[in-house]
Amino acid sequence: MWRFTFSSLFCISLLAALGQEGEAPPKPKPVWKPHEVKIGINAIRSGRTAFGSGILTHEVQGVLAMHFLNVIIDLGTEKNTYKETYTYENSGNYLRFGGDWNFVKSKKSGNVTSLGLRYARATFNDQLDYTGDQGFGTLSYDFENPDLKARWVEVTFNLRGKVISNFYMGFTARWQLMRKIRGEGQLETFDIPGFGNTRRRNSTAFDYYLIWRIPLSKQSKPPSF
Amino acid sequence: MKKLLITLATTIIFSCNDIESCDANDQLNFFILRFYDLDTQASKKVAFQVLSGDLIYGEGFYFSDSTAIGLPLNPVEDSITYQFDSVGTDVSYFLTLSYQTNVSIFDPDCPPSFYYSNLDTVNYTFDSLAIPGTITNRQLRTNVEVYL
Repeated sequence: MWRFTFSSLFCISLLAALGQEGEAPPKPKPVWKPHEVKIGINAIRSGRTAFGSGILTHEVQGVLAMHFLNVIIDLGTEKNTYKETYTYENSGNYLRFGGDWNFVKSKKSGNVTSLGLRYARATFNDQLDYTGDQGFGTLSYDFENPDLKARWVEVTFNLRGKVISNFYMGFTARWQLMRKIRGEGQLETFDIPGFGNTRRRNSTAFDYYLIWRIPLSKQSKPPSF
Repeated sequence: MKKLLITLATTIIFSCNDIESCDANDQLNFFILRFYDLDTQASKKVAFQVLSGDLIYGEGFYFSDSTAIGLPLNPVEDSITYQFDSVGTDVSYFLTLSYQTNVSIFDPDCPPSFYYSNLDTVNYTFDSLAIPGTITNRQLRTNVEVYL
């Protein structure tokens, strides 16, 4: 009987203690109002255009930051030309859309360490001109895919750091997954704008961005989360 | 975080190591035809003068003492007819194949790679014939088996 009484009292005291926890002051609700916009350019792509040969590519990135979520859109264009014993041209545009979760707690800093997901699409065309002997004499062969579409998803890891004032730099590492191509004819496309070589269905990529930050609301002091 | 960055850097370094030898390409721009004895099903040595209207080589290809031969397919057509003139006899055989041409770039430093898929017979005058490999690829030992 004593054991039962003590056990009951112990359980009641435990429940009371749990009840005390529920009375803790509520956490402040997250503010999802956009607090900054960032506009960036892909330095690797622009660098390849400036210093590489046979490639013309640029990409801009727009970011809308809300609480810890960054809504991201990338718009890019790419034209590749390979001139060897043949000519292969591939040109088109791509779009990536998705969101990143920023693990940096201070919104004021504008720094980013984030993981994200993207859905990407590309519309492009390619053509191959080749002169050679395939057992029927030296002949010219022309192949073309005028209306190609590709889509894939990406898991990204992003780091951005403040350089001066509202200017930031940082990289994005991409794991590009589940690539699909539509519209291929006899010619198997070699490149997808924004994705790269088609030999692998899943791939990785690395991009470096130069970013300008535009704060949307004045923050005299960092918000407390 | 440090572990994550090391893993990330390693992944990217390995993914950049993409330079391939042209010889590593498995795609073939011809099909492989093997001859077998109709009764014993064993490999059979043959001697043929092989001709096709599309070939620029006037006398075609000459094979002797061979159990297998490789023959090209015309990239701009979707079918081809080969005439097999048996050397030393007056016997001739005909084989018409249909196929689909495919072109890919294995590596920008290699010439475009032509290969053929959906290989099928349209007509033939051999005693018997089978197509165990419908795509021209180094991994496949035989595309067409001919029994005579």
